[in-house]
Amino acid sequence: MPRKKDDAETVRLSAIDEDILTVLQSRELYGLEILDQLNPGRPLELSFGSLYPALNRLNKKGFINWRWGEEQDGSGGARRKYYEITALGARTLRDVQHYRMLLAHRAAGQSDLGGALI
Amino acid sequence: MNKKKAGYVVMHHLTDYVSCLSVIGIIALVTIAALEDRHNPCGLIGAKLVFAENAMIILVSLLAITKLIELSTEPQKTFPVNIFLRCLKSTFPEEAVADLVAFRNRLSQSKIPRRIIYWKLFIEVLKLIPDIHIQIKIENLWLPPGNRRVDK
Repeated sequence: MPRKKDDAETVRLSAIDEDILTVLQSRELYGLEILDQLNPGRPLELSFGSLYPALNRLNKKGFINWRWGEEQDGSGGARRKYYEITALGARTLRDVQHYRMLLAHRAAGQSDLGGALI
Repeated sequence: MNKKKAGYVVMHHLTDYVSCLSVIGIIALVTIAALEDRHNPCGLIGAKLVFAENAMIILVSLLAITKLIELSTEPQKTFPVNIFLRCLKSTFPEEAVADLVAFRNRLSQSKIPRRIIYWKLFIEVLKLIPDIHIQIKIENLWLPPGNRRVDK
């Protein structure tokens, strides 16, 4: 029974979490770069305020890792945090995308059937 | 003296005058309001009291606006930047500071007026405070304790 609960936890991904994991698939990125990848064409723009809680959530669930970057000029010694997707994150994202695809196929099949009945 | 510095000096003196005017004005208006309240035991709001309230709001707004214009015309660039960084570092985690500074640098390169840059940053910072200090802390109550670092 506990096994089942763990599985349920791993597939719980919000839309923002899913978007972040998708952009992290190709390479490691820091906060502003993630926003740059996500925001073009997005109906509701993401801000830092939505990004950091999502990154914290993904990190705590083990879907992403992070490392410190170099100190930046003019930032008073502040370093960037670079995030990368883990194997668990990649697998979970694949599962969710697979499920969405199934859902789309199922919906398409039902609409075809509906059209045939009419 | 260049044009910008002259503008700043004028705004600085104007802010001083408005500050003095506001303090004197607010004291006078509070006195008027108190007298009006004493002569009006029935609790009806008199015209003088309404005038005093409105005048106080206008004076405080005028003071805030002149101070804002004075700050935006300040010729020394390093002062507000240092203040900005110090405030950020004491309020947010390191990665958020680095990202906000990168965001500011990008806005600076796009030739947007400085007061608009500060306004945008101010809005970002305001939105970030509850998310960093409240939302993340609440979510951590039920999230697993793991914190995955690559270079640990």
